[in-house]
Amino acid sequence: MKKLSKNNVWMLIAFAVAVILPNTTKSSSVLQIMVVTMMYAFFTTAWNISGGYAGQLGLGNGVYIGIGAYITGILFNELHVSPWFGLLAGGVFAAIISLGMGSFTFKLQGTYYSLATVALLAILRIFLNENRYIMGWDFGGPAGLKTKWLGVSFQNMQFMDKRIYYYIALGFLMISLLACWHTSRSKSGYYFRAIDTNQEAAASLGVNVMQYKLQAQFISALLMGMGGGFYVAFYQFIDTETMFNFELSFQTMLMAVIGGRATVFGPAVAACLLIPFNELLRRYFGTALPGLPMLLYGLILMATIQFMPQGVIPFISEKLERRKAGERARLPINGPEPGAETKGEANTDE
Amino acid sequence: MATIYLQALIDGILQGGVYATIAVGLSLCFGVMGIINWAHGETLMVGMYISYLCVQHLGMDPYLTIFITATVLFVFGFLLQKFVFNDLLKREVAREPLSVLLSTAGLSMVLWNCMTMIFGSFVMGVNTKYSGTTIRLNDLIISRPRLISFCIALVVTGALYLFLQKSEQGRALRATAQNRTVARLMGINIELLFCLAFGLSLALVGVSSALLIPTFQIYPKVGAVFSNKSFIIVVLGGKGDVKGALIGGLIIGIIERVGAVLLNESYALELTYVLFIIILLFMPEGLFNRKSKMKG
Amino acid sequence: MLKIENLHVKYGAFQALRGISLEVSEGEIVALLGGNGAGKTTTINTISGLNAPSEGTITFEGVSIADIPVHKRPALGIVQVPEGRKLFPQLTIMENLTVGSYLKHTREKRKENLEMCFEIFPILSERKNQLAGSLSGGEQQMCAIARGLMQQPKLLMLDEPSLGLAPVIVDAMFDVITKINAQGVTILLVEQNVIASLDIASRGYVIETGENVMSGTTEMLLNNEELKRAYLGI
Repeated sequence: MKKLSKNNVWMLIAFAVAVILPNTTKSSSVLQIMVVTMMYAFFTTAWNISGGYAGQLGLGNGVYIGIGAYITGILFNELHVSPWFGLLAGGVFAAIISLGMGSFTFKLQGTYYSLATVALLAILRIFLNENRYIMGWDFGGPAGLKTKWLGVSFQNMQFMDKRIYYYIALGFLMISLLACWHTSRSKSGYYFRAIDTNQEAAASLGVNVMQYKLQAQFISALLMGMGGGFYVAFYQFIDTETMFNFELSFQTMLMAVIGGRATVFGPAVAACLLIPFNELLRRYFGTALPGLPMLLYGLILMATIQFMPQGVIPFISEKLERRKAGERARLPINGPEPGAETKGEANTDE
Repeated sequence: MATIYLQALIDGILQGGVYATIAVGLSLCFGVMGIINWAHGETLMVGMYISYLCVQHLGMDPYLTIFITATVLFVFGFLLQKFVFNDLLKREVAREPLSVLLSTAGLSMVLWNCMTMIFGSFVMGVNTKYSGTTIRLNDLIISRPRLISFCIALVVTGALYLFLQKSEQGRALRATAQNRTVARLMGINIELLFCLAFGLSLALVGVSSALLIPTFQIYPKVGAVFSNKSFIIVVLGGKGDVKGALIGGLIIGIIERVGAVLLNESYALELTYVLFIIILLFMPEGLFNRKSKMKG
Repeated sequence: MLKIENLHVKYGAFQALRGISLEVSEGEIVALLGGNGAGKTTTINTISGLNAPSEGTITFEGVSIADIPVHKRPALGIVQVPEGRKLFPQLTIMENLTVGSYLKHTREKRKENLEMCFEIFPILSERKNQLAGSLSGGEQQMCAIARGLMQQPKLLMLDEPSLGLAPVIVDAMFDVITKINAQGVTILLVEQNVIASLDIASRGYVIETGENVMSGTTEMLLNNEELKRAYLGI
């Protein structure tokens, strides 16, 4: 309970910073980075609900973002549906598909689900590349789908001021964090952690593993699909390369792993660190070393898995905790000897 | 008219044989260790670049580069398993080693972007003395390098099969795939065996990469293409099943070629993915393993 | 030959063994008895090295084996026939037995050992090219014991060999175990079947929830009222 209030303070500070931040700059490119950061923070938190808490590593989960994006885009272009509704539709559609795949593969090893999502990525990518017009609607083909600019309008989610996009993304992030928090706190969350550590044991306890996994998957895909809708509203352009490509999925997964799966804020924090970092790299090395950000990401991921499996951020925060405990222990009056502090509470190996 | 299809069929078989050799190592590792090497195609890509360099700058015969690529990749695989993946496997004894999956996903990014930075994203092709040579059989044109590659692929896959069936370590590998704990009780050092398995898996990839040089173009993204193909073949054939991988490879090769004639190349590819999803969802143990593993 | 003192084993937070002690001398047949979840398999697995004890010692032939990895223990002569047989289901009987003699020093004698196994279990010879997964329970048990023999054990630990088998087969199997013992193999027999095991054992230990509860010669145990009540329903 004490921990809660300390964390609460941090959360309030972070929230305040997040709200004030976009007003500190007039630079369009900086604002762009901020919006993108919020968006990715949202994506990765949504990924974490299934990938972190329910242990279902969908390495191709980005496909739900793509589905949401295309549906929102098409509904807007062809049927003039407001993206606000479009993204809901996109989210629901993505969620239903995820249920479909999950119900078949969740009984198997997790690897199969990852393979399934990657297969889906390929199927959609090729299909959309080959078929520009489906049911008379223009999906854009390999050149991509553009949403028409109809002037500033709340209904059409089109704004000149990037700060508005930022706040929408922030709103989405809040929703996502809330969903994640609820998952971790609720009975389902407890069961998820059990599932993650030992599926058989959890099953033997009578926990309906399947049901909880599907639940998590549904929410996760729903949110990611909605995020895809936001993506197309913001960028006003999507194509099969960016949407149905491994890189997007990889990034959302990476941020969650680094930030700490099965923590609520970890993935978002990781996003806030990695996206700006990515931008910096691109600015300085962009043309000379084109693959550098991804290369570093790959190395960081491997190092994280190897040495900090709980995530970089939990690892660091735990180290800081221990150092503090050690410092407290060094108080002269009646304190135990330094070094005799919390022993044996080592990282529980996954 | 029928010749076109016969031609496509033959091309498909020749291609499929090589696909099989690429995928069979992945299948082996999946069976023995329960892991899918997400970077499988990327290691193939690395092998192709190595082979390319040997051919282009050392003037080697592409088929002779097999020895170099196989050795280099074997060592790479062995060391990777020893220093990176074995620790991860040990940590997750009680359940599926998903951390290896993640780690190899990271590896795939590393390899892909490393090669992009070194070689750029351009597509390269090598002109070897085999390129473009053909054999005529009545109305059929058979690409000579494809035929040679196919034969070598068959021999290598066959050798693997024999190794697994008849040799001491091969038997130990199969036993470990079926029950890791009991294998240890038999005195088998499974960590060492894992290194052998992963090394072998990449060695086979190394062989295949050389086989592809005379007929395939080289570019960093080619890794992802072959990763996906390998995943499909492993699922089709059933994990750990060499014969299954061979047949799976042939099936994919045939679908690609015949499909390209019937529809177009992209749709043929699409078809393989659709087949993939169908098998994944409804027959994940593969086309050939209807029975679930019998309990001992 | 084998000496365990004060063994403590944990599975995560769960304390499976709390100070188990037992001794097996060369040439003996010793029974380790107890109900479900008593910790019998845990004990055997710890001897094999699959679990690391948090406290306590295990010595074999006078030397501590605590630091020896699992795959090196069979070479010392410590062999386990696991609970539930656990044959390699997609290997043939022949292959299962051959894997049994994977250890280098057993490979030299592989042929002889195979012959010996086929003599003791003639049915295995008949079915030697059949997949192990297709055998009946009794046949699987025989194959599992034979596989253990191929490892040339000094100490053979059998984990609930009678589980799920018909009484007739159990009798035949226990005869075989006696025969093996007569040939010089020390036996540690883990069982729930008290009567059959005490029939061939000379001494026994009874454990419950990870602790020693009773121990003594077979006579002592068979005459013990508590034991009779708890395990024989008398």
